[in-house]
Amino acid sequence: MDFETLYRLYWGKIFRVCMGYVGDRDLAQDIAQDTFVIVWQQLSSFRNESGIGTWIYRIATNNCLRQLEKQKRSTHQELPQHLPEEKQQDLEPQIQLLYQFIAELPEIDRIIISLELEDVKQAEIAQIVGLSESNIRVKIHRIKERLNKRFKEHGE
Amino acid sequence: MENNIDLKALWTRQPVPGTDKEALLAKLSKLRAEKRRSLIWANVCLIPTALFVVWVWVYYQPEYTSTKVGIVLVVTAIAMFLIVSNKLIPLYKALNTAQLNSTYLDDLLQIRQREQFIQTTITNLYFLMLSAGLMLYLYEYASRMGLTGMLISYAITAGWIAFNWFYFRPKQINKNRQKIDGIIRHLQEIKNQLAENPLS
Repeated sequence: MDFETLYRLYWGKIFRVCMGYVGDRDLAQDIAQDTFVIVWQQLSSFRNESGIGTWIYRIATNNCLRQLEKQKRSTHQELPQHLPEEKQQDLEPQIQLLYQFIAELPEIDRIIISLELEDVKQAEIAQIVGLSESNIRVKIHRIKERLNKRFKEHGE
Repeated sequence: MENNIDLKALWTRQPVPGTDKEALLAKLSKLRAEKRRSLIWANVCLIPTALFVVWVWVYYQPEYTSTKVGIVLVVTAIAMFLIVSNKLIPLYKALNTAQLNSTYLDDLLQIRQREQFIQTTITNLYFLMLSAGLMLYLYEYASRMGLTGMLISYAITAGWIAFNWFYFRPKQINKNRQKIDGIIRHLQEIKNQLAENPLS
């Protein structure tokens, strides 16, 4: 598959996954772009050892993990637990809540739920994160329960 | 469960910014420029220091080997410190972004720990080399001063070195350590999330 096709096909998916992890549109767009820069650079060396989707998702989620590290290095600050109001104004309130609740999860859970909501198969998530499939299944179940509980607490 | 929100529908309803090939290309060229810049920096640091050693050597014509060794030690210490503090050592070069999150975290953690070790070791080495270099360099000129002059010069230099060793060195090491320690702790936390067994 050529880069153009991959870029068109995966841009939205990768953006949403990054958004799930960082909860900030500008930052998510930045990480998604970084991801495609790496895809561009390394596509020729991609060996089909995993599916191309798994490969791209791995790059994206690893970039997310690295991003937090970079932020910590430069600012010594934690990510905001609540989304900055002015940037997210154009989002529906329910979507904003979803991001807020995802931001409350631990980092790995954020990656797992973002991939799950992106309709990535659980076996593939296991291959991206590095946990067993059964482990992923249980985690997804618990995360969804927790998110639904948070929505109910909020009266949605 | 029937009242549960349809998370997937909500997730896919969010607006996604359009693809932007130009921004992507701009990023790529910025990356290349950064790489070039770090290379230039290394040369900017190293070439003048090397030239400086040669100049001191030729201009002052030191007679004793101890003076020459002293000069080399001091300049090497400074150059080494500059290289490390400017992060010109590409620790991240071998980092593979396309591997499992768990392996990637392990690698990041390892790099950070190595970085911490290098910085502490280099800082210690820097002060040691600088002190030894200074003492050696001083010998030729101090020996021409007579015993009292020699004692005074060495006492002052030793005092200066002690001040560096007991004040500046720990301060520098602590500064680096605090920064990297936070990152290592955070990475360790994320790694622990992977070690948890949800079945238990």
